[in-house]
Amino acid sequence: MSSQSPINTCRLPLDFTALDFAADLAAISATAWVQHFNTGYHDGGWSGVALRAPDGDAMRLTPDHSAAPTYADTPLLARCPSVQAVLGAFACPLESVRLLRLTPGGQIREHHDPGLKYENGVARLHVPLLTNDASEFYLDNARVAMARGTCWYLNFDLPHRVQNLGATDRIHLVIDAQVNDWLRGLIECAAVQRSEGKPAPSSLDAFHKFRALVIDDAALTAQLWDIEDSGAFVAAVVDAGHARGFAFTQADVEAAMRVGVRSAAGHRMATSG
Amino acid sequence: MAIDLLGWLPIGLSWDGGRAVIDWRRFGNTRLTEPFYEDSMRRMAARPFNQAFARLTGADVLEAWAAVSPGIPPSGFIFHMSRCGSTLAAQMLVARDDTVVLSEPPPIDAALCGGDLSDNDRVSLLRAMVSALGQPRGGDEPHLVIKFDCWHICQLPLIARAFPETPWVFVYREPRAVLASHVRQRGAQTAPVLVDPRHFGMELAEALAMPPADYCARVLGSMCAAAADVLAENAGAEIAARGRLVNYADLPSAVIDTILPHFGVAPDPHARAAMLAVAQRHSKRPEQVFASTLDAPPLDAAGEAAAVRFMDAAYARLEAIRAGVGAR
Repeated sequence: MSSQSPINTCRLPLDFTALDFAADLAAISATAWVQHFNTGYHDGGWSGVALRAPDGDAMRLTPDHSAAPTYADTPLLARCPSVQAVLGAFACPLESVRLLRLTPGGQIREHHDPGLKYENGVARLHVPLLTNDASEFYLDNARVAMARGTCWYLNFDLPHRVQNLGATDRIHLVIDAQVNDWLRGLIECAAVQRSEGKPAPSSLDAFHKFRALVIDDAALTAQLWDIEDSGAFVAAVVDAGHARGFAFTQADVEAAMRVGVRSAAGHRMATSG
Repeated sequence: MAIDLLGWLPIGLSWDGGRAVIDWRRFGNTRLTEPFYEDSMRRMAARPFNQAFARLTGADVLEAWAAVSPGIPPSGFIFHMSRCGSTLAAQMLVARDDTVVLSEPPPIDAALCGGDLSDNDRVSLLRAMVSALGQPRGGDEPHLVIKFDCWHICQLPLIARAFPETPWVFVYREPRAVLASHVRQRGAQTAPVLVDPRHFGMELAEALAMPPADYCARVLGSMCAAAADVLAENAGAEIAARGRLVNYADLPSAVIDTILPHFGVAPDPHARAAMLAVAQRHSKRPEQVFASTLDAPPLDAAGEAAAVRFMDAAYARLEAIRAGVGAR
């Protein structure tokens, strides 16, 4: 079935909700967190800790997909018994294992990680250790709500972004696992049994509601229509939304605009003379 | 709530599991002055508002909107074989304040060629799409002229079912100039992967296996033949009586002397001057209109053979019919 419809999101049948991650996190000193290498993608609030890295080097937060590094646990993993219990549940070789943290108000801009999907041999898995309801992850503009202690496979080759609109940190355990028959089976079975639950509410929903309101409001339409500069437009839309009780972000508006641009570009390929 | 799409125009029609999805963007009362509707829609879709606030509806909303706000009834349709001056003709009409010109709108092509519809459903969809696209542009323009994509001449009978009273013209040109232009630089219509070869009576595999000059010539020849067939086979009937043939050699004056009277557009000295100014500008900078024609090298032996085999007979039929129609 995987050849027919690609699996982009699935919750794996591994439940770590009973583990005490707070003790693990308390054992990591504040100075161990290093800013994420991709500073072009975020606003400074994204940092991480390497628990398993090339040569066991705790300073190497960047997974090395280019060479064939020897991954080994870093000294920090020994301080995290609950995380060790999580890793022990995986019957497949693990490459990098990291904690990635997004502080309150932090944003990771939409980007994609070319080729990072299980079909290519490495699956990136997420286990939220600390999160809040207003910490929002979007994959291809659909929110994926990941609860504490659950385990997720996501296709990071697709555009994705994160915004922590809550008041507490968002800390995920991020595992790059080599795909063997066991993990492939886990992902493909979980995708077949995917829950029929409603999509989680999101600030993107708030934008969609606001959009319906704009279309019916001639004065607001005229006001926003006249703005030709994208930055000024996004700011004006966020302001107008907030003034009417819709809490969405600039990133939500920008993501919707990218969809609008992509769909307009798809309508015709060539012009005849 | 009543449907209100005032100021919004379709820019796309796609198919989601057999259901039509129309993509609307706001144009306000912007006039469509670009050589192609696609250029206008690109310009409008680039506005931040239209990036963020696209509206997607089903065909039911399109048809309901046609009832609420019927567009300008079309004054005339322009069909053509490509690279034959039809863009110049359309641009001359754009110079008139009293005329809304739709030049090869992609949503009309999608309504005519996309999806899997019965003829009756396609006729309804086409009428509703023309109504949505043919809204006045902020004035009370009495005229709407649509220039179709060249391959739509092959669907003239269906289009005439949707618009039985609308006059039409077919613009064509001496075969070798058009063929040389396509051999030098293919248009979408002569690229079998872009425009379905079945419009021109060929299967894809057959089209891909043909030498390029042969394929181009067959596509161009079949469009000329389609126009000739409609006129010859329906002589005396409404669809033929509403048709006129216009040879490139008679442009630009044929726009004023033949096309506009045929479309029922009254003479107007001011508009005439504006149209002639466009023609003049184009004759000084013809590369804007006929970019690929001017520096096309003459046909080689294979191209010449293709023109003889696939185009000359259809062209001769058009010329004969035009001489007869002119005498009528």
